[in-house]
Amino acid sequence: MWIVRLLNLGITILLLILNLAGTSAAGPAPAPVQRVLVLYSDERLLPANIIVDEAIRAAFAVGTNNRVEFYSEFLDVARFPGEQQRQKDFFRDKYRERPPDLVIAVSGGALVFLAEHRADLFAGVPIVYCSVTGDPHPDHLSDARIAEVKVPDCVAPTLEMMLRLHPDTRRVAIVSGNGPRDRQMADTFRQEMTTFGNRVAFTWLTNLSMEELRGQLSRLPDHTVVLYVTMFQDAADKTFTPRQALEAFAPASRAPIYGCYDTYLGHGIVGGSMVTFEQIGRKAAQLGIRILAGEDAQAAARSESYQAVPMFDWHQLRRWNISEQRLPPGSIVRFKEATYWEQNYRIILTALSLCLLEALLIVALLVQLRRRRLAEAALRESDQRMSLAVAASNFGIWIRDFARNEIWASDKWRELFGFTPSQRLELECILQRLHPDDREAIRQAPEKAVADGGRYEMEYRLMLPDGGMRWIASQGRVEFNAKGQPSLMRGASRDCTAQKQAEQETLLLRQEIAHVGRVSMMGQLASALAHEINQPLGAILRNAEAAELFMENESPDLDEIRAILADIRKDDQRAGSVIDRMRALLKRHDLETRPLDVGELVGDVASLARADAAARQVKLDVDVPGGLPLVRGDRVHLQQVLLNLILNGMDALNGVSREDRRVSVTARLDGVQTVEIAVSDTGHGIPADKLAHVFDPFFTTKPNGLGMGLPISRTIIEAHGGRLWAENNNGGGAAFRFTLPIAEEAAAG
Amino acid sequence: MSVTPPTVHIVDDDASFLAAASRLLRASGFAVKTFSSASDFLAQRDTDAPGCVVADLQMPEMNGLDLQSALARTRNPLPTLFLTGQGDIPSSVRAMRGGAEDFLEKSAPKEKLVDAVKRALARDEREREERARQRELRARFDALSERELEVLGHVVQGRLNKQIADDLGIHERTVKRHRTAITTKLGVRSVAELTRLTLDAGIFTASAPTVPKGL
Repeated sequence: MWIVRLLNLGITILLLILNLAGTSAAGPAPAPVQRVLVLYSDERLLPANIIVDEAIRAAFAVGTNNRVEFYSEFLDVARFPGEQQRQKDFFRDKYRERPPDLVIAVSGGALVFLAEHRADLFAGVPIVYCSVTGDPHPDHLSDARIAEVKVPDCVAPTLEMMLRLHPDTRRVAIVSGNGPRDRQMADTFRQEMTTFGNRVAFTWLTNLSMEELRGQLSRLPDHTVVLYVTMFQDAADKTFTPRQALEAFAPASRAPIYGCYDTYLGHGIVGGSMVTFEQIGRKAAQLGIRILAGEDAQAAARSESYQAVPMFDWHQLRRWNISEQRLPPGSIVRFKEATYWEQNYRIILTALSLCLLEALLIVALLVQLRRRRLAEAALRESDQRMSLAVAASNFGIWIRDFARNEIWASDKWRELFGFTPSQRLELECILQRLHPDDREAIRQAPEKAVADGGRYEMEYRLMLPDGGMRWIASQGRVEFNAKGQPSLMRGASRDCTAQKQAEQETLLLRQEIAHVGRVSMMGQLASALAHEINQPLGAILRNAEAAELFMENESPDLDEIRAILADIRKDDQRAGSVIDRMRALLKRHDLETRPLDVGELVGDVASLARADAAARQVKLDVDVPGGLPLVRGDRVHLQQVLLNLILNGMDALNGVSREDRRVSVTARLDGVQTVEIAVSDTGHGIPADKLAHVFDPFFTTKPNGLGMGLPISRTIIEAHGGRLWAENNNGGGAAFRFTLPIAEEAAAG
Repeated sequence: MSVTPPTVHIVDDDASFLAAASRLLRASGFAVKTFSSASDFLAQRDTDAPGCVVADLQMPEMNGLDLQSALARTRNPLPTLFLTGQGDIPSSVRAMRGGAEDFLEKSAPKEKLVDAVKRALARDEREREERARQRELRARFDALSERELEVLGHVVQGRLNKQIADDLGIHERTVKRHRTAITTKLGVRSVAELTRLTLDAGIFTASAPTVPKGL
C-alpha cells in the first residue's frame, strides 16, 4: 500500500516541477519591435546593395536582442532621377502606420533624398548614412540626427598603389559612365586625384559607348594603367550595373584596370585600396544598433572608423604578371587558386615525411646490415687470423685458475706438451715433463709474476719422451680478483727450440768470429811475439853454453854457474808466460765475465804488444791510475779488444816521424757505474767522412786488413753492456774509447 | 896504435840476454862490455877502442839499425853484429847494406856467434890498419899545393899534359913542372903507381876534390 502512496507523491512532485518550469518559460514580456528602414540609392540587384543588405541584417542579428523588422527601399536614382516626389509620397503613405525607428541611407543618392524630404518623411527619426567611395558629403550632414562613419579616401591610395606596381606608368586612363550617378561619382574621384596631376597624365574615357570604350581600351598606349570609377550608363544610354559594364570592357583592355570597390574584384580589376561593402553594411548596422539603444548618434559615429585595405584579384595579378611580393604589406589577395601544393601540402608533406622516414629507416637498416656484415666479416677475419696466428706461431693457450686449482689448456698446448685432449692437467704432472733444472723456477713462477706486477715471462726446457729436448717460451699475465689476490694466470706458450738453436748458433758464430779475430791478430803479432819468446830462449841458450864453457875450467866458478842456472829458470818462466798469454788468446773461449782489475788487464795486453811496438818504433804508454774499481768482464775478450785497438793505433802511426809515434792507453772512472778505457794514438786521425764507418764490417784502410777487428771489438764491448766509439783527439790522432760496467761487488763497496 | 885489447860491446835492452851473452863471450875468451841501450853505448864507449858491437836489432827508441848508422858516422865505426829474436828479411837486408858484419838469431849456435864475433874483430883490425895507412897516405898528399892537387886530378883521369894545360888555362910546361913536383913529393915513379896511390888514399872520393871541367 505504502508503495502506491509513494508513487502518487512522486507523480505529484513531478507534476509540480513541470508546472513550475512551464510558468518560468513563459515569464518575460516580448521585446518591442524596432523598425529599420534601409534606403538604397540604387537598384535592388546592384551587387553592392545585396552585400550591404546581408551585412546589415547579419550585424543586427548578432548585435541586438530586440526584434528588428527590416524594410528596404531602392530609389534607383540612376535610372529614375525625376521620381523623387512620387517616391516621397509613396513612402509617407506606406510608413504612416509603421514609422521606422531608424533609417539607414545607403550611398549618397539616398541621403540627398532624405535630406530633401525630411520634414515630410520620418521627421525626428535618426538616420545612419552609409556612404561609399565616391559619395558626396553634403553640408547638411551637420544635422545632428544624421550619423555617418566616414569612408576613408580610397582613390588616392589606389592611384598611389597603381603607380607603385607599375613604376613606368606615364598615363592613367579613367573609365567612367555617362549617367548622372556616374558623373557624380567621377566628380568625387576627380577631386581626390588632383594631387597626382604633376606626376602622371590623366585621360578620361567617358562619354563613350561600350563598343567605343572597348576600342579605346584595346588601343591604349604602353605605360598606361586604367582606373575604373563606375558605369551605370554609357554614351549610347545603355544601362548596366557597374560590374556588368566592367565585365564587358575589361577583357578588351590592354592595360591593367584598377578600381575602388570590392564588388569589382573577380570581374576584371587587378585591385585597389578599398573598404568592402560587407564592412560598410556591418558598420552601419552597428552604429544603428547603438543609436537605437539610446546612444548619442554623433558620439557613436565618431567612435567608429574604417580601415581601407589593399585588395587584389589573384587571376588579374597573374594576367598582368605582378608578383605578390610587390604588393603592399597587409594586402588581401582574393580568388587565389591554391596550387596543388597549397591545397594538398599537408598531405604531400605527410606523404613525403613518411617516404623520407621510410627511406631513412631503410638506409638505417641497410647501414646496420652493412655494419653487421662488416663486423661479422671482421670477426671472421679476426677469428681466422687468430687461428692462423695460433696455428702459425705454435702458440698453445693456457689458463691456470688458482681458486679452483685447475689448469685449462688448448689442444695446441696439449700437443706441445704431449697431453691428450681429454687428459686432466695437474701442475705436478706438467712439471715432471720439464727439465729438472727448470722445475723450481716454474713452481715459483706465479709468485714471481705477482712480484713483477702481473707479468709472466719464462723460457724452459721440455723433456721429450724420445730423450730430445724442446725449448718452450711462455708469456702471460696474472689477473687479480676484487680483493687484489691473484685469481688466475692466463698465457700462451710456444715452441722456441728453433729460435734457441739459432740464438745458440749466433752466439757460437760470434765467438768463432771473435776467435778468428784473435788468431788473425796473433798473426800480426807473430814476429813480435817470436822475438818476445826468442829473447828468453836465446838467453837460456847463451847461459847454458856459457855454463858449459865455465865447466870446462879446471876450477869452475860455481857461484857463476848457480847464477846462470837461476837466470835460466827465470828466462824459462818468462818464455812460458808469453806462451800462456798467447795460448789464452788463441783458445776458443766463451764469454765468461768476472771482476777484473783494469790495471792488470791493460798491463797484460801492453806486454804482449810491447815487442811489436818496439819493432815498429812506437812508444807505448800505459797510464792506469791505481784505485780504480774492478770491472765486470771477460779477460780474454777484453784483452782482444785492447790489443786490437793498440795494434790499430800503431798502424795509424805509419808515416809519422819516429819521435812522435806514440800509443797511449788510459783509464778513468766515468760516473759511478762505469770505467772508461781509451786507446789514443798520435797519428793523423780518422777522416771525418770515415769516422762513421770504422765500425762497419769489412771497412778497412789497411792494405791487408780484414775489416773485422773493430766490429768484433764493438760486439764484445756491447756484450759486456758497454759502449765502444771512435773520435779524433784535439791535439791530433784518433782515440778509441770504451766503457765497462763496474763489477757489482765493487759498486756495492 | 892503441894498446887496449879488442872489446866486444854487447847492446841489448833485455838484461837477461845481455847477461847471458856476456857470460858466453867472456867464457869464450873475449873482453866484453855490456850496454842496456844504444844511446848508453854511444855515450859511454871508449871512442878509440878496437873491437866490435853485438847489438839487439829490436830495441825501443834507438834500435840496432839506428845504432849502426850512428856508429858509421863516427871516427871509429866498429863492425856491428846484429842479433834478433826472429830474423825478418827487410831488417836484415837493411842491416847488411849498412855494412853489418853479420845477422844472427839470438838462439843461433854458439859457434856461429863466436865465429861471427871473431870475424868482426878481425875486420875491425883490418879496417883499423887500413884507416891508419890512409891517414899516413893523406899526410903525404897534404904536402901537395892546391894547383898540384888540381893537376893530379886530371892526371889520374888519364888526360894528356896538353889537354890539362888547355883545361886549366896554363902553359903545358907549367903542367909538366907540376907533375914532376907531384911525383917527387909522393915518391912515385910511374903514372900507374900515382893513380893507385891516389885511389888508395881516397883523395877524390872521401874529401871531394874539385871536379875537373869537362867531366
